[in-house]
Amino acid sequence: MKIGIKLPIMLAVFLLLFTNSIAAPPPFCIQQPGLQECKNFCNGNPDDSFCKNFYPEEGASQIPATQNKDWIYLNVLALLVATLLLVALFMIGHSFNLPDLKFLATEEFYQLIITAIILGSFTSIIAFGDSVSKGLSPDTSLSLNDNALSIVNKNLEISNVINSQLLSSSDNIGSESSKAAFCSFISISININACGSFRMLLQPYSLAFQIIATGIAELSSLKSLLIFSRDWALVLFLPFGLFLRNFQFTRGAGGLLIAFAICAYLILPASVVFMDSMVSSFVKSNPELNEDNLKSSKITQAYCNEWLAEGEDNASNAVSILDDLVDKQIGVYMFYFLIKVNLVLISAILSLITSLRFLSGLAGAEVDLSAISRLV
Amino acid sequence: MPSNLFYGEGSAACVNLISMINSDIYPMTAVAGVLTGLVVAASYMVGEAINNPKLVTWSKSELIQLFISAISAIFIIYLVVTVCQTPALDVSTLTAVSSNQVDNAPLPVFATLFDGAQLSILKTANFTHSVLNIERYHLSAFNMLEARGRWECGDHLCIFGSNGVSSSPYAGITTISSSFNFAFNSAILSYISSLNYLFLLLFAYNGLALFMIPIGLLVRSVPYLRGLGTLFLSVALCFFIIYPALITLTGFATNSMLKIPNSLKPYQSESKIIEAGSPGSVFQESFDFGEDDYLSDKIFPDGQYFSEALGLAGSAFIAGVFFPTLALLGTIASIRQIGRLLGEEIDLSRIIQMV
Repeated sequence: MKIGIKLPIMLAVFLLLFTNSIAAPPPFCIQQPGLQECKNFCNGNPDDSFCKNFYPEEGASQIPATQNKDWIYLNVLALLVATLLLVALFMIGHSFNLPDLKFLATEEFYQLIITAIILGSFTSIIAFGDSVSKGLSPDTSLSLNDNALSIVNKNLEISNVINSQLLSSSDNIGSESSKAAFCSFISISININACGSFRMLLQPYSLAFQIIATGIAELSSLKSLLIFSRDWALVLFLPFGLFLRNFQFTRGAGGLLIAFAICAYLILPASVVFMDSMVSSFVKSNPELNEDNLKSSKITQAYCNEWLAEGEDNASNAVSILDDLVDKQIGVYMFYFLIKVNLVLISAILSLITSLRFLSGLAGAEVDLSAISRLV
Repeated sequence: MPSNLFYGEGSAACVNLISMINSDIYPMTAVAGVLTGLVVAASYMVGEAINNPKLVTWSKSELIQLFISAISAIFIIYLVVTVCQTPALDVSTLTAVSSNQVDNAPLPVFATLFDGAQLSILKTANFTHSVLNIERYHLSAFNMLEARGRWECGDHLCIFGSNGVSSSPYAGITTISSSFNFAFNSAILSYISSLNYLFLLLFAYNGLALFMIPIGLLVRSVPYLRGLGTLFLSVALCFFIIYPALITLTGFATNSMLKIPNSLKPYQSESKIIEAGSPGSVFQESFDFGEDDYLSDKIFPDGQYFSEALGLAGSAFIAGVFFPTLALLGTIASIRQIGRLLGEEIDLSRIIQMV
C-alpha cells in the first residue's frame, strides 16, 4: 500500500523534475548554439529566451516606428559634464601655473564647441543629407540609398539569370563531352571516345563561373552595406559617435563612427549611382550588352555523336560552339561582370575608404584605415 | 536557468577584477604612491641642499605626475566599476534607434556590456558557420554528382555487354564547383575571423583586464616606468570598454543581416546528402530505366539556389570581417587618445595586420 502511494508520487516528482530539466536548452548550446540538439530544442520551444536570442523570427520589420529622442538629452548632459571637467582642469592649471594643462583645457574646449555645433545641427545634417541624396538620385521619388539598392538588385537579378543560363549550358556540354561508346562482338571489342573535343569547352565555363561567383558575392556584400547605410548609419553610428566625441579619450572612436556614418550614407550610394550611370552610357553603345539581350541569350545546345569514329563532325561542332561562346555568350557575360559589377563595386568601396580617411581626420580620429583597404 | 548560465561570464570577470582591485591593487598602489612621494620629497630636499635646480625641477614634475596618477587611478577604477554595472541595452539609449529595432536584437535586461558584445559575436559566428555548412553541402553534393555514371544500352542485347554508351550526366557540375570553392574559402575566412574577434573579447575580459589594469595602475605610480604603465592602462581600458561597446553597437545593425533565407535553410545540415548517398538509395537509383536521373532531386529536394548560396558568402564577409574590423579600428584610435591623455604616444596600427 505504501509502495502503491509512494511510487506514483515519486514518478510524478521525477517527471516534474525531468520535464523542468528538459525545459532548458542543453548547457553546451550557450557556446555552440549551432548544434543540431540546440536547434531541435528551439524547434519545440520557440518562446525560450535563449531561442529568441539565437533564432529570431523571420520577417521582422527594420523600419523604425518612432525614433528614440532621448539620446539628444544624454548627449547634452555628456557635453555639460565634459565642459565642467575642462573648467576644473583649467582652474587647476591656472592655480598651479601649469601652461600645458591650460593649453590642453583650451584645445579640448574648442573641440567641445565643434561637437556642440554638430549636435545642434544634427537634424539639419539629416535633412541636408536627405535632400542631397534625393537631388543626386536619378529617380527623385527615391532616396540615393534606395536608388543604389535598386541598381544592385537589378544587377543581382541579371547575374542570377546569367548563372542559370550558363549552368544549364554547362550541364549539357558536360554530359555530351563525357560520352563514350562501347561495342563488342564475340571477343572483339572497341571503345570509342568521339566526344573528347567537347571537353575543351568546360575550361571557359569554369573560368566564367569563378568570375560570376565573385561578382555575385560582391554584389551581396554591397547590398548588405547599402541596407546598413540606409537603415542604421544615421540612427546608430552618428549619435553614438557624437556622444563619444564629447570626451577626449574616446574622440578617436567617435570621430571614426561619425565619419563612417556620413560616408556610408552619402558617399557609398552616390558612387554606386554615379559609376552605374557612367557604365550604362557605355553599355548603351554596345547593343549586345543590353539587359534584355543578356536575359534572353540562348546558348547553342551541344550534340555529340558518340558513334562517329572519325570525329570530324564532332570536332567542328565543338569549335563552332566555342566561337559562339567566346563571341556572343561568355565573352559578353564576362564583359558585363567585369565592367558593370566589379568596376562599380571597387570604385564605390575605394571612394568610401578615401572619404572615410579624410572625414575621420577632420572629425578628430587619426586612424590607419589600410586594413579596410586591404579587405577590398 | 540557461540565461543565468550564459550571461554570467562578463559579470564574473568584473567581480574578479573589482575584488582584486579592492583587496590587492588599492593597497599596493597606495604603498607605491607613498614610496614615490617619499623619494620625491627626499630628492627635493637633496636638490635644495646641494643647490641642484635639475633635481628640484624633476621633483616638482614628479610630484605633479604623482598627483595625476592618483586622480587617474581613482577615475579608472570608478570607470571600470561603472562599466561593469552598465547594461548593454543602455548603448541603444545613446542612439536614435527605435524600440522595435532594439527588440529585433534582443538582449536580456541584466546583460552587461561584455555579455551584449559576446552575444553579438556569437550570433555572427553562428551565422558564418551556417553559411559554411551551406557551401560545404553544395560542394559535397557536387562531388557526389560528378562521380555519377550512366550506361545506356545500345540494344536489348546490351545486358550481355554487347554495346552501349557510357556518360557522366553531371559532368558539367565541375565548372560551378570551382566557384563554390571560392565561396567556401570566403566563408571559412569569415568564420575564423569572427572567432578571432570573439577570442579577443574573451581575452580582454579574462586576461588582459585582470593583468594589465592592476599592473598599469601600479607601474604608473613609479617614476621611469610611467610609459609602460600608460601603455598597459590604455590598451586594457580600450579593450575593456570601447571594444565591447562598439561590437554591441555593430551587433544591432548586423542582426538584420544574420538571416539564412528560407530556401537555403534545409541545406544547413548534411542529412539529405547522407540519405541520398546511402547504399540503399544509390542501389535503387542504379537500375533506373529511362532518361531521367533523380539523384539531383534527392540532394536538392527544395530546389537549386546556387546564386543565393554564393551571395551568402558576401553577407558573411560583411558581418564577420568588415564590421568587427571597424570596431577594432575604433578601439585602436581610442588607445592613441588615452595614451596621449596619460602622457605617452602609442601607435598600435601594426596590430591591425592580424586582420
